Amino acid sequence: MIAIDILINGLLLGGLYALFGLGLSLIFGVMKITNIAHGEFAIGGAYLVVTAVLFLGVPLWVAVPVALLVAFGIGFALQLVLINRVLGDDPMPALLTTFGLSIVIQNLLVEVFGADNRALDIGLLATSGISVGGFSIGVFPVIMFTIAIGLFACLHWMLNRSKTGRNVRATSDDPEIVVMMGVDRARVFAMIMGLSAALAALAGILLAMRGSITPFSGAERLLIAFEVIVIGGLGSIWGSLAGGLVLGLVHVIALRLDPSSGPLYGHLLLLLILLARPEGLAGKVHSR
Amino acid sequence: MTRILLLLTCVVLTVLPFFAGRSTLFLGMEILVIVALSQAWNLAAGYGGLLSLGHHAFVGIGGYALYALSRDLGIHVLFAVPLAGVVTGLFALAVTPILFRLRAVYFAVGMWVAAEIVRILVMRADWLGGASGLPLAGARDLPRAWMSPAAYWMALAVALGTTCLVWWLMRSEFGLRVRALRDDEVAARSIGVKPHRVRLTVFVLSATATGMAAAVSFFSTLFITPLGAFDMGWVITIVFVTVIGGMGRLSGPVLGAALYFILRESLADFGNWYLIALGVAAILTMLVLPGGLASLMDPFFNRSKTVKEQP
Repeated sequence: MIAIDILINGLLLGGLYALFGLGLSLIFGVMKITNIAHGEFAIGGAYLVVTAVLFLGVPLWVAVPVALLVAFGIGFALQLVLINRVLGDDPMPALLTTFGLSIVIQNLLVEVFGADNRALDIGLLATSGISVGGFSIGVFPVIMFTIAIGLFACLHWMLNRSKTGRNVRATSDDPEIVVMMGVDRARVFAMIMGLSAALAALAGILLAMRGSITPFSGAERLLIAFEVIVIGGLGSIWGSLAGGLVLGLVHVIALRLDPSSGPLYGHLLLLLILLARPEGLAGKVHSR
Repeated sequence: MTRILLLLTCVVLTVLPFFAGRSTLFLGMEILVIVALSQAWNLAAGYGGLLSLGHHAFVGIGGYALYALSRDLGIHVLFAVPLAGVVTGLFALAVTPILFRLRAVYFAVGMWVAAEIVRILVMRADWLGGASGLPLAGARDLPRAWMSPAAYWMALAVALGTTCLVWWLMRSEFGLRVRALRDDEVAARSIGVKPHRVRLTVFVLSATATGMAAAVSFFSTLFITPLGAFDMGWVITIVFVTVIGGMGRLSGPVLGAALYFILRESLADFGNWYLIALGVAAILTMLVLPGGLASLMDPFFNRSKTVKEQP
């Protein structure tokens, strides 16, 4: 009985983790652009909604879509004016630039909102549960899980079926050649970064609804997103979903067996995967 | 001329404790520790191409090694500081079989994850005081009046030592191998550079220097906690200082540390704004001045012109 309970809770938590990984999977896995500020995009997105709801009195269902659009715009603009300029064969300038960006965003959040915990109130939804075969399952985790699966399906479709997706994959395969084929590489990068930022923001908003956040939550979220895409396998969208579910399960099991461990076993799993199966659960073999 | 100036600076820095007050001495020690830490990180990241976002693991291990060596083995603090560096170096050696499988971004984030693991393990280790930390058992090894001058001199020794080490390494044949490997691994291998051995040496030296500098810093605080020792803030400072000063340049960490402390002290009344200013400065440096502040001095030294064009 406990085993099934852990399984259900782990998978539901894994849905949220997968969502953190999905944005990073697009920008880092598919486009191979390093973004250390991914966690800060998530937490910054959540603070956008916090601002709208708590300080401006905007209803939640209006604030969330607006925040996602703003996050898309910010990601798009940052890529266009900043990150595109430091891209090249060497990933280090992009790594250092986005590292600087993450610290700037984090400390701006501290200065504006203070270091306290913040949460988004979703009323009854947070506590209501349904009973299935003797197990009580929270409604909100199920909604989160459904959103995550839906977005994975959407992105899979977008990448593999649409014209935009074809441009994205072509840019990923050979960024030099696509320019000759008339693709505006800078815009493709910017669009994917915008999309990645919006997905990160959504994950951050869901996190703030589920529990609470501080301006310092970003680093931990980046590591979780990174673990999700490495465990799942780089460049594979569905791999990230698998990676998220595995990481969610590991965290829930660890929390049950060793309550004070925090993210320890997730971190250890990452090292284990890197040792035993560096290409991840679903990834193609690449040299790193 | 430059040599005389450098020598004079060293002499002034050495005799400073006889003139300066407590707070000046403490600030001086802080600056020297940051110079040493950044120089060590620069050795790995700037010269060796091993960009790590997890050097706070070495800071924490160096600090805790000092406290454990002085408490459990009764080693005098003045000997425990260099030994703490050795312990940190051995730890670095032990994790390379896993971490050296990773390259570039994976290595950078992998180091970060490794640092988080060490932090959690230390917080759970009762013999290291757990989450509440440890006092320095060896504090009574030295007379009270000598504590802060001793910390300052040790910081000076580590900062000068690390700088000289990097300078000497990069002049040697080994330094050529390091830079050849960073610039083009395939070409370097083809002329007989052994990548693993070279990277291992650079990484372990960097960790050892980091551990020693950290031990000096936590020697002066007389208390250590996991949150302070394994604080990501160490890496943030080190990275910003080195990037702004100039990666892969000997004067980079010194110039970067100068800017860091000018910003920190002048914006001291404004909370975290100095970090925001530093972050913006680091981003701008990456955009418009990839060689950092140190590259601004190039025209005055004409270094680049002494390199003969190969036919």
